Amino acid sequence: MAKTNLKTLAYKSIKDKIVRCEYAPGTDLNEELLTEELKISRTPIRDALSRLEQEGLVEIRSKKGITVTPLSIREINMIFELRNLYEPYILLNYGLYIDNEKLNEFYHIFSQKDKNSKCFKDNDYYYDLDSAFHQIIVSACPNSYIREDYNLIQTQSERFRFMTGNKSNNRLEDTFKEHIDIIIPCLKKNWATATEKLLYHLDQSKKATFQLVFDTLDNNNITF
Amino acid sequence: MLDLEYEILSKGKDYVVYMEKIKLKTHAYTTIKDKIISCEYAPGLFLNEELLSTELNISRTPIRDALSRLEQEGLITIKPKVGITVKPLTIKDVTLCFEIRMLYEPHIIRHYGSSLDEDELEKYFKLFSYPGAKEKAYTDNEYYQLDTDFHQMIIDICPNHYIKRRYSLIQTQSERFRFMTGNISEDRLRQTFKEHCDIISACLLKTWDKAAEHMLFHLKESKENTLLLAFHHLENTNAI
Repeated sequence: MAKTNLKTLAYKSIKDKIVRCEYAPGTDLNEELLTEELKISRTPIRDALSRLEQEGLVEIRSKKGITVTPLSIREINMIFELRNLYEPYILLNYGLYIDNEKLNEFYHIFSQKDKNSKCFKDNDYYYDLDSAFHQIIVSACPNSYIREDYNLIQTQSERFRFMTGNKSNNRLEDTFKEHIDIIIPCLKKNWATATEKLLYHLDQSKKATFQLVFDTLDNNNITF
Repeated sequence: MLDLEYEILSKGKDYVVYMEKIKLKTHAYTTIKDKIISCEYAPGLFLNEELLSTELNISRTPIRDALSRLEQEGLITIKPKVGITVKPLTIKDVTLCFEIRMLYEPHIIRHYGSSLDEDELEKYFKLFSYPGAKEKAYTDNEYYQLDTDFHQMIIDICPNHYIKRRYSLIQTQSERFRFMTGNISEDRLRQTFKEHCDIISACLLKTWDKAAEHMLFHLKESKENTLLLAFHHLENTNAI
């Protein structure tokens, strides 16, 4: 029991630091240093690293050679290729399973015009809202493989976000509007239109991500 | 390559010991995985580290490592106080796998089809349209290998590592299914070959939308057939 908790603790701690880019993309990790830093023994650390390797967050090549997986521009293409494949398909085929109450909730949140409200001021909250919205779409899909893949992509997207400074997104208003444009046809059960709007939104998101990467090229570790 | 040489020179004995450990881990992983695929370790079976260690003649640490990896791949479940079980195989798994394939393969043909090697396509066309194929000149294994290789050729032209990874996990599930439900009928074999030819012809003509449509049709037919086999299996064995 204690062992399971340690494994999970190690996994969560290391993963969190990778997501926040505290362990930046491309940097080397060292088992010994990790045990010192996290104050957890080697076996749970090793288990955690193995799990993170499976998820593609670290690469383990030789005994002391553990690297945090680099982030690349090509990765952005792959992430969006998958999102463009999954999300519209899910909306079209499983949209009817999305909880209307939740949709209404999001409708109200994204209709906010008050610049002093939390979503405009708190950056983390904005990003969490954005994830949560897309998550309710993906959660409507009963295919656990798809949901698993989507989680991997979520994690990578978060890494990009932290790598590019986790600053306030000047696309905030546009994002909110695009979300509303998706929600309205969903509420009317007009799935074809909702899917169209979703595709447009994903396209805009992808462009914005590239822009962010290029704008911060001097400060980020992102390769080609 | 250079890395390896440097490693051996600089770390000597330690490196050799390390490589031995990797071999053991990998051997444990591959052996257990093969037994799960062939259903020798049947769906739902309880596994035990000690017994595995004795049976495979490998010490517990590499076994534990292998089991951790297999858990990540979704082939076994490890629950505290319950133990280690081989993940059950259900009808639902068939639909999950085909849902993914029906998303991936037509998309890949549409967007990456032009990367397909024409010579390879023609090679497959000949194999699938060979008159002997209609008289089941292939053994079951040969047929399955041909089918797998053909679809793998499609997946390989897509550089997306998420897609590659998920597909390979699905492949494993498909293999398990095949072992469990037995082999397809002669009729279906002929049909499959014909459907493959339709896909290839459209590819050779560079009509990618048409080729993608044919692929979708083929996958739907394959799914129905697999479900039928699964139901027959259920009827015959009362298995869950």
